[in-house]
Amino acid sequence: MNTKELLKGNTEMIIFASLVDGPKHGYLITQWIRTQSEDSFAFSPGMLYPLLHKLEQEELISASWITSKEGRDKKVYQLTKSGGKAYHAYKKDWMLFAEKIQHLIS
Amino acid sequence: MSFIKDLRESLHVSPDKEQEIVNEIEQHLEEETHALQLQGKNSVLAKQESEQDMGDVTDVARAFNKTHTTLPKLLKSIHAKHALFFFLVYAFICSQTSLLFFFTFNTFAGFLTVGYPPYNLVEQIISLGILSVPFFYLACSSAKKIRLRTNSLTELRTAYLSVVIGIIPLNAAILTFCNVIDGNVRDAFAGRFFVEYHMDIFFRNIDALLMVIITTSLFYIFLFLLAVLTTGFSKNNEGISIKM
Repeated sequence: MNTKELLKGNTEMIIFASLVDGPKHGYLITQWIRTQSEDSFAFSPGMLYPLLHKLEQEELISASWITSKEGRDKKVYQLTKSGGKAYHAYKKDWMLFAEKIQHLIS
Repeated sequence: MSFIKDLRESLHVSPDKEQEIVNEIEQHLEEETHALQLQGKNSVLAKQESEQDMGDVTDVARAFNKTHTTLPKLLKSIHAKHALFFFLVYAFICSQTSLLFFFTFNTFAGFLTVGYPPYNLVEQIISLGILSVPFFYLACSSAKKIRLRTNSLTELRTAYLSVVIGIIPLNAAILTFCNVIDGNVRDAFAGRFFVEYHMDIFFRNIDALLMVIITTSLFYIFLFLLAVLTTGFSKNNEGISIKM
């Protein structure tokens, strides 16, 4: 499946989705996407981190540094209130769009 | 060279932000390497693979630079024709202001260095030369600041204005040169025009005035374009835009 083109424009929604069930750091987000998509989607970290920073600037997600059990500092991201709203709006639009496409091609 | 080292070199963000980005990427690389080692890969191979997985370092740095530039969205990409129009107007205003500065500055320079308004070309050159050093320094250091991606709009304006102020001595030199080539060589060397004739020369002699305006305007445009051209242009749906 050529996912690259299909993913364009939906990357933000996927990041939001990864943060719905709680805060995560960058590496965990990439793993979550890989697992949930059954290895179909792989976000390159080089693409993911600048996007996370952009969403943080837009206050759709917030970030904080925590120290893990191993003593490492990790930057974890979580959805903000406006990020949550944006996610639900995206999701609604996407469901509608997918339904229409499916209707067209079936 | 390692990914982190290359990334540091390509990032043009504030030092604090750079450190934060590097820490985050280092943390990711460590975790990825660790995960690959658990799959049975040796540490060198695992590190190499995790760095390759990051993607092209220039693209990554560019994406970070774009995200962390504090310039307003409008200035991140200005349409070329708007930018040109804006800076033509700006350059024209600057050149006019510099004309006013010139008369004040030249007299001030003369008083500071020789104790009276400069009477001849040699005195003018000496007084302007001495006073131009800090101004040129200001111009050179500000020209560098124009290109910083972390500039806010105010910082960009301040830097550009500093360049303009910094090249006042050069404008003064151009104006002096205009006097000399304006058929007033003898007067210039006799040192009379600044005291007696400068108003005549610049406000009665339209050719000289126009030449000064055009020369200084072109110089400002040249300076601006030099700063912008080294940053680059991009082609998009709306035509050619200047990358800030």
